[in-house]
Amino acid sequence: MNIWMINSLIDDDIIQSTFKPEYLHKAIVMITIDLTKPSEIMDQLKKWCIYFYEKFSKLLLKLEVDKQKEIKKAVEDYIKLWEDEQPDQDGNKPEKLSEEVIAMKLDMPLKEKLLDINLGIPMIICITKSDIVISTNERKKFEEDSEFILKHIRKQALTCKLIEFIIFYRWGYNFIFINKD
Amino acid sequence: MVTTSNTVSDNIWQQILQEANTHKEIEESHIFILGEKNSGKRTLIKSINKELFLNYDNEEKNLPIIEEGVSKNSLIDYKYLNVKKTNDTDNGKFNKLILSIL
Repeated sequence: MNIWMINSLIDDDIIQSTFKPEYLHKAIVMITIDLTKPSEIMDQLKKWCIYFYEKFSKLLLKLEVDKQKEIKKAVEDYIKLWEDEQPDQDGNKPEKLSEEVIAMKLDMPLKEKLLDINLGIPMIICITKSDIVISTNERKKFEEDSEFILKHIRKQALTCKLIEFIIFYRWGYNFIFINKD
Repeated sequence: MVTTSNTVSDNIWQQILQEANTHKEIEESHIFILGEKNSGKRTLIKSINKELFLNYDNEEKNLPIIEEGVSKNSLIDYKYLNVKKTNDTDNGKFNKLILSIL
């Protein structure tokens, strides 16, 4: 597995000339958002969403049409079959989907306006430095604002027709998936 | 002359990256991490690596991991690491990953 870290809006040619579109089916994009700068969250998110779309759509177009459809369908199916695997209050994990349910879900269309633009590349928004939420000084502030912040981040993810996942990241802890309606 | 120099410089970087792209393991999976400077990209990788690394036995923990798998060196504004995938065959647990410098 290879990890590419990009922290500035680098020249188009670099990605185009170094990353082969044939590997797109094995690629995933993560956008890190710094929670310690709440006033910049939406600007950061929009900037990187646009970057992602502009650069990777060009790569996608280099693939054959059948291959494009294939990787787009893979992402679509992944979204359709996504289940929250977090254990419930008693620590019980949800049961695996039966084959019938899987087939039924795959036959159903996606929610309206979800994944209208699909590059075939899963995307994760990762909110970093969220330990600020549990720090004594900022706790009350974030308790009041967290719903508001998450609502707008999620809205942006949906507006960009990206995957409906937001990962809330905390130092030293596992990922917590937030995908509640 | 300046333009020429920049062009040559760009080509050198591109050449380096293209050569790296010929590495056979580049065909494995790819994660692109996009974000501002100091937005926590490295720490994110370090923490993922740490979580995975804790599950290894002592012998495996002696594998040469530099800076917990994250290089301080950057290639232009553009870094990439190679992650080796190994199987934990002893206790039949899931596959784990170790980050290392390419």
